[in-house]
Amino acid sequence: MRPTTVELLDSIAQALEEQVLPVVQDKWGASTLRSAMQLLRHLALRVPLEAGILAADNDDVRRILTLVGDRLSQLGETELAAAAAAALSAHSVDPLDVIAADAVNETYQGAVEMIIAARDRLRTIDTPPQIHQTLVDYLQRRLDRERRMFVPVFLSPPF
Amino acid sequence: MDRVRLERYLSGRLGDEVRITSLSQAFPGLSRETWLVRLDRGRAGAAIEQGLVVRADSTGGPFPPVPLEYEYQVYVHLAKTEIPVARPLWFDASPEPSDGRALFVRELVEGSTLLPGLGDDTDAAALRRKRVGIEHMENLARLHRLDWRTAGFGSFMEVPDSAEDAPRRELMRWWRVWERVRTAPLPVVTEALHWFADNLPKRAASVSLCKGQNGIGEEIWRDDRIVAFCDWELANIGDPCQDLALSQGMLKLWDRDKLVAHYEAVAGFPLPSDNIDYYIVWNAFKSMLSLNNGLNSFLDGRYRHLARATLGYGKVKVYEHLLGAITGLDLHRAANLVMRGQPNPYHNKKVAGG
Repeated sequence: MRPTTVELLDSIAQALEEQVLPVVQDKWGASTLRSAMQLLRHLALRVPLEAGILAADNDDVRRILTLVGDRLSQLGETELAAAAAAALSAHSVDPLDVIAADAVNETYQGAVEMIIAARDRLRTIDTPPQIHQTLVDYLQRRLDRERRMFVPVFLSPPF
Repeated sequence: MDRVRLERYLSGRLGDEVRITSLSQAFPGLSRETWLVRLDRGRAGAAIEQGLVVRADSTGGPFPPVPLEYEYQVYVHLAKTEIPVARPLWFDASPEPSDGRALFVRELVEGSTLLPGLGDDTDAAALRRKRVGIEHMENLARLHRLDWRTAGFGSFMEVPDSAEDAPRRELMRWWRVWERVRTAPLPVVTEALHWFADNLPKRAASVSLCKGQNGIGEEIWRDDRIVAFCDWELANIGDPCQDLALSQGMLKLWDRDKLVAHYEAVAGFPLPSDNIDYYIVWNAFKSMLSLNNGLNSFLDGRYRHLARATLGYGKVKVYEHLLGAITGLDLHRAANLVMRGQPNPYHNKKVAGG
C-alpha cells in the first residue's frame, strides 16, 4: 500500500523540519518539534524492522535459556534454573503481534538478567565455564540485531 | 510558573511587598525547573531590586533520582564555606505556586552559565580555553580540599569508610538505585556493572566532597571566572577523579595532562589516571541511569514530554550499546571509546584536531 508507513513517517519528519521548525520562534516549542522529529525518524526504522528483530531474538534467547537452564539444573542452581524455566513457560505468541512478542521478550530478559547477576557465584561452580559466556555472546547478538533502530538516529540532538 | 501566584507566594515568604519585573525559565529545564526572578521589594518609591532563583521539581520528577531537598542541603552547608555558591533562602516541600511540587529559593548570582565564543577557531579563543580550563581546575581543587566533615556534610551524605572503600561504595550505591528505577530488565547493563566491579580503582585519590556534575552549563561565569557553582543534585563524598571525568569537555579545552597537573598542584594530591579513566566510563552508566529514571513518568502517563522519550528511551539505548561495547575492553580502551562518543561542545573539530 502506498504511501508506506515508512514513507509517511519520513515525510512527516521532513515537513516538520523544513516547513514548521524554521517558523517556530518559541524555544520550547522548537525543542518539542526536534524531539518529535527524532522519534518519527526512529519509528521509520523501527516499524518495518521490529517484528523480525523480536522474532529472531525470541528464538535465540529461548534456545539459550534452554541450554543455560539445563546447565544450571546440573549444577544444583535450582532457583536460577526455575527462573529460566518460568520464562520459557510463557505462551508462544504470534510473531506479528509485536506487543505480545515484546512482552514475552521482556520476560526472557528478566531471566537472563538474573543469571548474569549471579556471575561471580556461578564462576566458582561452572567449570569448564559455559553459562556466562553463552549469555554474553547472546547479548552481543541481540545488540547487533537491534542496533540500526537506534544508532545513529538517537545520536542527533534529542530536544 | 504563574507570575501572580509566584508574586503572592514570595511576598508571603519574604514578608514584604513584591512586584515581579521579570520571570523567565532557564532552557531546557527537562529535569528540574529553574526560574530566574527579578523583583522590586518593598513599598513603591522605596523598593529595592532583588534577583532570586526558584528551583522546582518538574511535573515528571527529576532525571537523577535524588530529592530536591538534598540539593538544598548542599547549598545550605556550602554557603558557610569559602566555596562560591548562591546563598540559599528556603526550601518548601509543598508550595502553592508549583502546585505542590517541591522548590527551593536562592539568591540570583549575576553571570552566565555559557561562554559564547569559547569554541572559536582563533588564537585568542585558544588562549581563552586554556584560561577557562585552568580556572575550572583551580575551583574544583579548592572544592576537593574542603574539610567536608567540619562543614557538616556527613550529617546527610553517605560517607565512605576510607579511600579504599569509596569507589566500591559509589558502585554499590548506584547499582542498588539502578535496580530500583530502571524501566525494564537490561542484562547488558548488569554485565557492565560486573565490568565496573572488575575494574574498580583500588583507592580513591582522596575522600572529597565532589560536585557530581560540572563543566560549562553547570556553573555561573563572569569575565571568564567562576563566580558560583550550581547544580549540586549529584554531589557526594567520594573520589574527586569523578569530577574531572565528568567535566563535559573541560579536559578537552587545553592539554589534558597539563590541566590535570595544574589541578594536582593546587589540590596537593595526585590523580591516578586509571581512576579518571574509570569514572569516564562510570559516568556513562550514571547518565544512562538518570535518563532512564526520567522515562518512568512518561511511561506511567504523568509527563508525556517528548524529550523524556528521546532521552529516557532513545539515548538510553545508545548508552546500552556503548556499555555493551566496553565490557570486552580494558579500562583505557573503554575510556577512549566513551570519550570519542562524547560531543565536544566547546570547540569545533578543526580546533580539536578531530
